[in-house]
Amino acid sequence: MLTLDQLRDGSKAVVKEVGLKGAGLIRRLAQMGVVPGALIEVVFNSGSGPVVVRVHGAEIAIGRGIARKILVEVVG
Amino acid sequence: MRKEPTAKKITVALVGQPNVGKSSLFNALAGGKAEVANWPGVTVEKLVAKIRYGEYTIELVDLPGAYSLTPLTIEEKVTRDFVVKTGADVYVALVDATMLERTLPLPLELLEATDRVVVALTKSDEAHRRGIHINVDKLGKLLGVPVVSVSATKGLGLDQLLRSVVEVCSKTSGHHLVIDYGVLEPYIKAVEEALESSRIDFRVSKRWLALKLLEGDRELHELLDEDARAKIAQIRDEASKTLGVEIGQYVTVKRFEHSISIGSSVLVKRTISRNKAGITVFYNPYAGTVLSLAIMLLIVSVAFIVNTGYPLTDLFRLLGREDLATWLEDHSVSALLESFFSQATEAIHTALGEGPVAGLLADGVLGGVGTILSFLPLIAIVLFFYAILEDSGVLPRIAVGSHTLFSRIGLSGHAIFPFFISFGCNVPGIMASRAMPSATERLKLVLTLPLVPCQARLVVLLALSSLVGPRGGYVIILSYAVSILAFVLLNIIIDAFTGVKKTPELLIELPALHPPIPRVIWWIVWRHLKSFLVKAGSILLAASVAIWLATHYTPSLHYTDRVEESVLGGFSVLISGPVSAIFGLTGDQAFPIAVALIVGFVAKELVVSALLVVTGASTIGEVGEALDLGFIQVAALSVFVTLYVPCLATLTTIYAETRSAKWTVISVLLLILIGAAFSLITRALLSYFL
Repeated sequence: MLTLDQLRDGSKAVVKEVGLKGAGLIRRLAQMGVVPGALIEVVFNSGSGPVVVRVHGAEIAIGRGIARKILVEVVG
Repeated sequence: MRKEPTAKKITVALVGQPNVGKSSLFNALAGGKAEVANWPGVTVEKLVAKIRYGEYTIELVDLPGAYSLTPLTIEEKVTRDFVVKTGADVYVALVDATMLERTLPLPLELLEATDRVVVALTKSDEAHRRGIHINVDKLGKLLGVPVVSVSATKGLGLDQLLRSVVEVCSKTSGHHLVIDYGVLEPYIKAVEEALESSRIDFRVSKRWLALKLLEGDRELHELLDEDARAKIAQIRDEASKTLGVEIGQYVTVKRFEHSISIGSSVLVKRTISRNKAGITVFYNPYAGTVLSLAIMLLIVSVAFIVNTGYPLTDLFRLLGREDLATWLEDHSVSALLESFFSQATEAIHTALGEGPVAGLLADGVLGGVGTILSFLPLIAIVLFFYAILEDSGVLPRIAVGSHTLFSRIGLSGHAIFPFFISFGCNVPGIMASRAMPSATERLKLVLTLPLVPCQARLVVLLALSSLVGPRGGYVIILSYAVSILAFVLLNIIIDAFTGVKKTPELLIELPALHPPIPRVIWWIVWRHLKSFLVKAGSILLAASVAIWLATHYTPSLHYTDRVEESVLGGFSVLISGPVSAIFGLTGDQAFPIAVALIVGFVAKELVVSALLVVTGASTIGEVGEALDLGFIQVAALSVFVTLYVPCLATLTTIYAETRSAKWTVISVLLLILIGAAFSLITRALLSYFL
């Protein structure tokens, strides 16, 4: 299974699992719509630095460390 | 004057998630009457305004953006505390009409807690433009409260909003919004029962309280009595086990799902969101940094040019257009100010002679006013560009690109703008630190930004470096290098000191990119400018008068025009010892330097004039002859001048941002200490190698 940081620009994926330990971070991601089942689209991923995705209509910048722990499944 | 009937006073608080347009709505309603302060004890901005609506006097409060009333950040804590402890008569919950489902969760949570709410659908003009149509009536029925479409920037729906607010104030439905939490429901009821016996009187519904306690809100938990606490803790453990996931996450997801379901039933028609090929260039760490640098240079250059004409004047001269260069110089802001003030000073002396009163008015009062005014163009221009970058959505994107670089010293990418701006002037740089996502980073930035050398310090460096002839250039380069090093080191040290282990991870929602709105630009610039004028203005004026008194009166309160006899002179003699020690000066050299450094506390530009006055010289060259300083001494002095306390305007800005005398004093001591330390190190290294 892929992690968010491995997705290329323009790819669409569904979030499978948010494998983080910090409850606060998990909650914050949920508040931004990044929950299992959410459809996301990668807006910008340069290979280093934060990953920018679009979810539920808004752009979100996710730090690389966090992105590495988000399991996704590519769709489309 | 006709006596008006006593108006009814009500408090109305604006609540909403970040980026929904709260400050725009606040400004549209408050019409420039906003008072800027900080929430007690934190570096979070507080906006309050008093407005009249019919027979009501409304105190409007802008609460910090929050995703939830269970706080993860200091901003959210401020909002939560206000709702739970202080309370408002009516809440205006903002929902972004262009992103309904996304921005509904917080209003939903608020509605679970209280029914004294009016929902404002913001950016409705933009939604309309995009073909998004919302069934406002249906939304109102589903939420159980009035829903009003507004457009802050176009000024639409504001009257209707206030009317609904006033109506809710006198009459509410009495029902709170109830979201079905499925498996969690029995536990919620259990906690509600446990709360029956508790004698807590909050302004919020029991159900909401029960939810918070289940999520594990420690603060609320502490407010309960022993029995209730134990019982509820037990219920929480059971719920946790049954649920399998963290309760807070479960609740968040359920609320989000509820938002989506409401959204789908009230969004009547929506055109397929045209996927604008996102402008991603700003995200690229390299392109972004280069672009940011270019923008910063542009801002700083424009500010310099308007202020003094330089470097455009040099360009004009290079092109042979001496006439344009001279015109620009004569009409630059500082030139205009100077001519105005010299005329005013002359007028004062003509009217009042040469005595202390004339001096006080001319130098103390007028001088102070002049200093304040001289800051305004620079700050205004910087704020203008800052507002454009911020409102358009470019600034947070630049921050994303710069994040990796700044995270190495424990700051998020948002530090890029304040950092570069500070090279022009620390004041707007520190103001811009408000953009930092976390309050701790904001404080760190406020403490370390003064180390960044500003234009005023460059002026002093140029003067000092001229004392050592052709090698003067090295002095300037050295000072800049040391100050940037100091900035980096101090950030790293603060992190080590506070035990921050990891570099801050970025997780931030970016507002939509859109052409900046002139009205919003105006609000942002005017608000900061006004606050600077009022706060820094009064302090600078007082300080200017104080300095004048201290340099023109002896300790026995006789007027004198000789610095050596004055209070300031006496104080300078006191610190001449340490000054000699740090910079390796003789007694004769130390006194003028000490006076200059003390005066430099108020404004760096005064350092040069102080040196002239005390040594009786009329040019810097003569100062050099009078003091006879060596290269190492000048280098050490330059490093110190660059690092120690920027100026009083910066200090008042630090105080305004931190709202804490403690931190302002810490900042001063820290900077002086760092200045002295690096100065000594510079001296030691140069003595060894040269």
